Amino acid sequence: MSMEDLARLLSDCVPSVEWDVARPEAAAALTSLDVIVAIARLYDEYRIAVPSDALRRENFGSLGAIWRLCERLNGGK
Amino acid sequence: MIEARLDGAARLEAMCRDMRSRLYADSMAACVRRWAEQTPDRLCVADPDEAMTYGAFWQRVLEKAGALRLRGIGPGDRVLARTVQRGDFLALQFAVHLLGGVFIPAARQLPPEGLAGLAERLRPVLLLQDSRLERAGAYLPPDMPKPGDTATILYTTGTTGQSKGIVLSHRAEVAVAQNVFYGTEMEPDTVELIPMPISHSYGLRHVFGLLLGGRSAVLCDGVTMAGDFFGLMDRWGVNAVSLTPAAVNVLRRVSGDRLGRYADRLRYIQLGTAGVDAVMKRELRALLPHSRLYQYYSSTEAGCACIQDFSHAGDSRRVGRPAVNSHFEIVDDAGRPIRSGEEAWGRIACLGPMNMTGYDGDPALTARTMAEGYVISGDIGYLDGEGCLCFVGRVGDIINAGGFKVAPQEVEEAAMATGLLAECACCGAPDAVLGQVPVLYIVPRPGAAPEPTAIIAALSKKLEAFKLPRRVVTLRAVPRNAIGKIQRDRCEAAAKEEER
Repeated sequence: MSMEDLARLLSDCVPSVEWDVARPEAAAALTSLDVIVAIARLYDEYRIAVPSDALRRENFGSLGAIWRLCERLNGGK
Repeated sequence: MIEARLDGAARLEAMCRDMRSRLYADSMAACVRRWAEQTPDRLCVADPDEAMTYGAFWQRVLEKAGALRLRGIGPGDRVLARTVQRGDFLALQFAVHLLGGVFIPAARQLPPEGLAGLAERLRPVLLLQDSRLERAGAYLPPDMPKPGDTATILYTTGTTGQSKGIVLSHRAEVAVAQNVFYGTEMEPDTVELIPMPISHSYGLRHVFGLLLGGRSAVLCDGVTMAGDFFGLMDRWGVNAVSLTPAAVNVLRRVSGDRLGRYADRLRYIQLGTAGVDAVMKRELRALLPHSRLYQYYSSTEAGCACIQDFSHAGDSRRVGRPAVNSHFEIVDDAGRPIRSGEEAWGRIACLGPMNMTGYDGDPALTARTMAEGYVISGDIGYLDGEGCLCFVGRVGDIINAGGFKVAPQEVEEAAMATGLLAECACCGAPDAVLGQVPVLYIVPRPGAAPEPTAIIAALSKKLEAFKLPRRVVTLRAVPRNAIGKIQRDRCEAAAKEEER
């Protein structure tokens, strides 16, 4: 999965936020429901399971933060 | 014949006197002041950013009072602020109260237009986007707030969808804090995690319950960020949690049964804002076998008025016994008290010093909702032989099937007990012969595909024939509002939408 792929997935499930790969650190205000939908889609499409310990505000604050989380969980694949 | 009528004035006066025989102060601000003097080093409130002892918290309150005074805030002035789930926000609230002002917390998620609309309606003297104020010297006014003065206006859409401003006095805030404090039998070293928003009556009042008793509150931004949620539990040695049924579902979805790892530490969890169904009660009992499990029957208008410990039982309609400041009557549609029972339901009317003063700027709605100090709810129920309040349903939700009354919650509970469903909603549908018939909207459990006939067959073993759904409709999700309550009036539209 590339960052572009992630941005597309997030744009699809959280359209209220602008997911711009050119500005990966731009703050993203996700609601609780947004986070639940996003982690479900990450698992459905990329088999990335987000453990409860990783569900922290700092891991969902921007496209870049979510990307880094996915990389860690995916073992850099 | 003398017609029975509600007579609340004398009883309410006695209840106000009784309040003083318990842990009491004239206002929540006065409570905090007392604990700051008596136990200044005890943890008062912690959040992800900071922690304050009672001494530090009171100092923060006084500094904010100083800043607000410089801005000209005085008695009766309204301060509207967008809520942040932080101790600093609570300090702002108490600072406004100290100055005799009226605090109005706006929901954090309220969009800018919504906040502007609220400001237009309320005309606050001061509108704040959060709790930050310029630094100022501490200021303690010569007079503390009086019990009958207005403290807070809470905005709610409730179950009716209509936005209402609920006016609460300082006495009402202390009374509801007593209901929570004594209802949960808080231990001296209680540290409770509050992930529910403090702009909402449920979250705010549970904080008040803790501060009344000089206990410790830990504030958290919801439960979805489970890493943060459990991180705060570990960091502060949390031994009690406030949740809602919807929050329990979310927490279990994102963290499985991780809450169960705290079974030996959690003394109680308390649930409110919506009824806890029998399935969730059983699951929580299994997950937390050593904890006290409370559910509140509450409303913004009448506080946390009734409490039930379902640690050992509680699958019936019972929502518990009246809290220390609550008295219930069951009334007919004209507001006259009736002798209620399992077969004689009526509207639930609640009296107590925690009741609202009225609806802000809406005397007509206040007059329709309150009589003799009672808040007459839109809930239908009865008092059983042991004095427990039993909830049957909402006024508009009760299905009249040819004269037979069907409580949708009873059908839903029986349907969930089949174990085939993730969720369901029972609603009344128009019927040419009977007037109304029950219809069941179901969301199957993952991997299950129950036939409607199988559901009906299972229900027929438990329910009388007139309660059986005439149709079973499968949905992807039951429509719910922001706090997880079923929106029965939207189920049919949701089904049609999914058909397209």
